[in-house]
Amino acid sequence: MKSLSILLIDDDEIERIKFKKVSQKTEFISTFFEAKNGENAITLLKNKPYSFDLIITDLHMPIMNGFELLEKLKKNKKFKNIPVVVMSSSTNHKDLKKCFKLGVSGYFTKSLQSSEYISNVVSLLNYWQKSELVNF
Amino acid sequence: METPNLSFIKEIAGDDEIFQKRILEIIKKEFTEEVSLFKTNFSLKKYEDAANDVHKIKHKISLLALEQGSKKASEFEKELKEGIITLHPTFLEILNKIHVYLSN
Repeated sequence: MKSLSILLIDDDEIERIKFKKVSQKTEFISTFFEAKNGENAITLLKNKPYSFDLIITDLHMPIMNGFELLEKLKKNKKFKNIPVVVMSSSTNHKDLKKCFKLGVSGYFTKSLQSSEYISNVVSLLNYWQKSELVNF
Repeated sequence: METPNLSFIKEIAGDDEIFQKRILEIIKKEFTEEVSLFKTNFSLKKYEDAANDVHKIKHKISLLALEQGSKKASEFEKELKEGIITLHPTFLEILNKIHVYLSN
């Protein structure tokens, strides 16, 4: 079975570790590459010989935030077709609207409750894995 | 009244004790730094910066299974963005609970 190659972007190390751990609760294997901010992610994207299946990014990060990253990805021919899902604790409607305007494929709120968080991450990854298999 | 505990971390970690330990180590290290930064920004009335600090701290509050505490932290974060500080004492109480828990 093909594994998903995911670029996970979050300045918070615990959030990255947590997400990867929960990903092990899915029925699929995901391979993660990590970045601490948008700038770090762009460098990784430019240096990687093959494309990612999915980018999951936080919004509020230092140096280059999620919005700036989305704008850069959208303007880049090579990266603009990689699906991006935003993972944020922001429930601000303006943020949500701005993200979809910038072409994100999904937006998921980091729940502060464990069972909800786990269920959200598992559903998200299962959904993308299945979509990827359909396209494969 | 809720108290900090490891139920959230255990639910994520399952039987993986190394993972549990690693998360706790990071929490212990970062919590002190983030709280100190928050207190500095708050005392300087840099409320926008203090809101960003609360944003980071609230994830640790939720990881220690303080559901009500993390809700209060979210409310306080919103307050700070508008320059309102009524939830400051409540937030300090939550921080103190965590500090005591992590010190034991």
